[in-house]
Amino acid sequence: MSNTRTDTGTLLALTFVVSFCSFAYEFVYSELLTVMYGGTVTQYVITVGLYFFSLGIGAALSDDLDATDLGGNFFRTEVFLAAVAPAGFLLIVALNSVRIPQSIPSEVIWMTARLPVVVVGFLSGFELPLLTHMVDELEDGEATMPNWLRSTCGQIHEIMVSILGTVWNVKRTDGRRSGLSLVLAMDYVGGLAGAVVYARVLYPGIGLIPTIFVLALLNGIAALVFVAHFGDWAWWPVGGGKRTSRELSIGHVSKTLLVVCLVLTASYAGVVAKHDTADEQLSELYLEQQIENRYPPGAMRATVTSQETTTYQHVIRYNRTWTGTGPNPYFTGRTEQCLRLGSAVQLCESWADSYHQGLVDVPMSLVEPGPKTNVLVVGGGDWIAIDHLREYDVSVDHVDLDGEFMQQAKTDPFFRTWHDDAYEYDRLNTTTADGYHYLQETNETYDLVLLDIPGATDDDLLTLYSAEFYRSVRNHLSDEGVVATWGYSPDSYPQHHKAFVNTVGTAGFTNQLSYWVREDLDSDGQSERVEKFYVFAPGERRPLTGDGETAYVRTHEQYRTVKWHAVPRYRGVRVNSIFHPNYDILVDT
Amino acid sequence: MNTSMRRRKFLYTSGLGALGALAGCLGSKSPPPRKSSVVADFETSDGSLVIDLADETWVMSRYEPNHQSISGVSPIGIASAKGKGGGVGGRGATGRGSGGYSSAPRTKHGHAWFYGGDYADDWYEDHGNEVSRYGVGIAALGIAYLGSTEAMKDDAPDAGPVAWDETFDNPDDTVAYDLTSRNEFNRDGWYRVGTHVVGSDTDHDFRWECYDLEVTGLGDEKFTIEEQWKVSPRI
Repeated sequence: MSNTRTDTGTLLALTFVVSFCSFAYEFVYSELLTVMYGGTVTQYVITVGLYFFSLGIGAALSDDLDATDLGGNFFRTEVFLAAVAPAGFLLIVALNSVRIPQSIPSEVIWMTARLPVVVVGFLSGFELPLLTHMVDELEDGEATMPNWLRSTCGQIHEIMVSILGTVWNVKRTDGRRSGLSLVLAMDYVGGLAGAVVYARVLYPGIGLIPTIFVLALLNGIAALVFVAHFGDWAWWPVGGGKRTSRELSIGHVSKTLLVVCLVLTASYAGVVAKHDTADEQLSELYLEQQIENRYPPGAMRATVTSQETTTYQHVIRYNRTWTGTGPNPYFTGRTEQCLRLGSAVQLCESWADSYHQGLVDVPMSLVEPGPKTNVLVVGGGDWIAIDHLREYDVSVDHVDLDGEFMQQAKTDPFFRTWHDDAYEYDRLNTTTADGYHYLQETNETYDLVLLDIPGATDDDLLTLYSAEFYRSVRNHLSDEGVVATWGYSPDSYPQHHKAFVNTVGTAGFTNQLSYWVREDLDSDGQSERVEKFYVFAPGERRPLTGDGETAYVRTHEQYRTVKWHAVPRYRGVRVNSIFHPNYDILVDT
Repeated sequence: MNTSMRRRKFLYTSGLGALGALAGCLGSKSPPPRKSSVVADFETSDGSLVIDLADETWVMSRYEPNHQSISGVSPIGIASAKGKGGGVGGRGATGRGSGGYSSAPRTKHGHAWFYGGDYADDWYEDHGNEVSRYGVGIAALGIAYLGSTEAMKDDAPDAGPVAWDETFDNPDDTVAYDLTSRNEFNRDGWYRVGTHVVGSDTDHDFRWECYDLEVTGLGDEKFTIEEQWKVSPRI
């Protein structure tokens, strides 16, 4: 009886562990797919949906597994899970790193990227039925439960029945718990633990890449514990040895699979022990490949020089080096330093200046310089836009969410080159807050609002591209006020563009100026496009050129042809709203 | 077939079906390329590429004209972007640069239609009330060498302007250009011809309609156009 209790306890503990892993895998995949493809809600909902669907398929097919080899099949399932889960993770990363021929339909890529979710769900679907049958096979009911578990379950049961009795008619039963109820209960507890530990410990503590290896390690250990406990292993201290005919037998376990399991577990243990290095190297590899894929094959080499994660964003510094044949068409020289925030390129040495000229020096032609002009900068935690505004002696309110990044940028030599300690500007008032909430609370009005914000690459930024946000900006504009922002190319991102202009138009902006900032980036005597900008206004405004034009606009001929136009509107394109998001506004970079 | 086999078959089929359906519903919802009539034909003649513009030039668009027109359309200028590609893949014919030309759907003028196909016709049928046909004028025409046939397999640019090697403002109905006259052109491979279209009666910049041509035999001045793809922005 004592051995049987230990066996049941072992199986229930294993149920907890495999359920923990199974749930956590899906969260890892959901987050990874969000990072890769954007759209948090979509990715989480689809992943969870696919997971439960596959779980059901696996559970339904589990009846076809040989009932005389429950243990062997459970062991195989765990080894396969330990192997497949990290492989699936790497597959998704690879899909976003390697060059995929353009002839492959996007549906195929979509399905391939969700395959790991389906496979892990399918394999996990075997676990519960197998464990239930094994618990049932050991001994019927409560008598086989370890004393501590029986006592705990009894107490919880008493409390739950008392609560039920307040609303329903209940009749206390002292009968035995079935194997299914025990395993299900442990499965749900394991699932909850997996969710909480993933959200509070693993993901924030060690990151996504090491987490998948921790989970696979747990799966591997679970498989080894199982085979050690229920196999014929004399060295196993608990419950090993010869078993009676009533007890669970593990059946035949392939030695090859056992070796595979040992190797995988040992490898994962090594990765987890060195998780900092593994995380850094894998993410560097992925990032470098992703950056290089933006250029023709063999044209550019990317080397990540540093990366850190603040509360709000992933800050990546890298060098890009021209390795193509012929002259470098992207920038002067062979190597330059760039900065990415998340998946969006934020700054490169070759165009840092011209970007900020487009953001600040062009729209400054539409307002008067001097302290009476109020300017709001949303974002711009690198302080560079502030440096440009300082030249016009205007009063600046600056709001950025990421105080940690702003603090680092103050002293970072790379940023200091560009911002020239602009954070010390005496007409500057900086607030660390979310731009949308800041506008909800402030009573200030502004002559110029500059949106120096990241691209619309994930759900977290949907608010800053919503009709509510732009309506709020419009409500804080002075009579002649305008808002300026950078924008994606309508040719490269047509769906984003249409959703964006419809959103801005709905917020009450009727007129727009759009222009490209150009610079001779590669010193070939011809200027290239650097960035596209938009200035929006809720009515007619003065022309860009003329009496008020800045020195920058005056010296660049291209702005002579830039005129105000009506903000276009496109039929059948939904506005992006906070409570009814249009995910077309998100771009896949 | 026993019950177990039927159940297994049902599960496999429904599993694959559900995943396929999900992929279809969620994988790509990109609208198709816009329809247009801008270039009627490309020909070769005495070493020149002859671009014959359509008699009636128009584009389909979801643009909704409002009546707050501020000023006449002013072409934004000739693009010379050398930057990143957009990566906005989607359904439809995608064989540009990697085979599939002969089976690709054709436009009215006989060009292979990049990202076109049956789904595009379905989309236009389902969204007939959202699109309108606008007469357009051609403010500029640009020609650029994109790269060798090999290079195009991996790095074909998306719709839209590229760094033009040669441009023509307000072009005539027929533009002839000697591809052998400049070093950067006198190479086999892929060329892009782009037309910057602006509304004739509407104050709107419809941006660029482009055509990618695979040209061979440039060295002996009797070159031929192997493939002609119409590459339009999505509507």
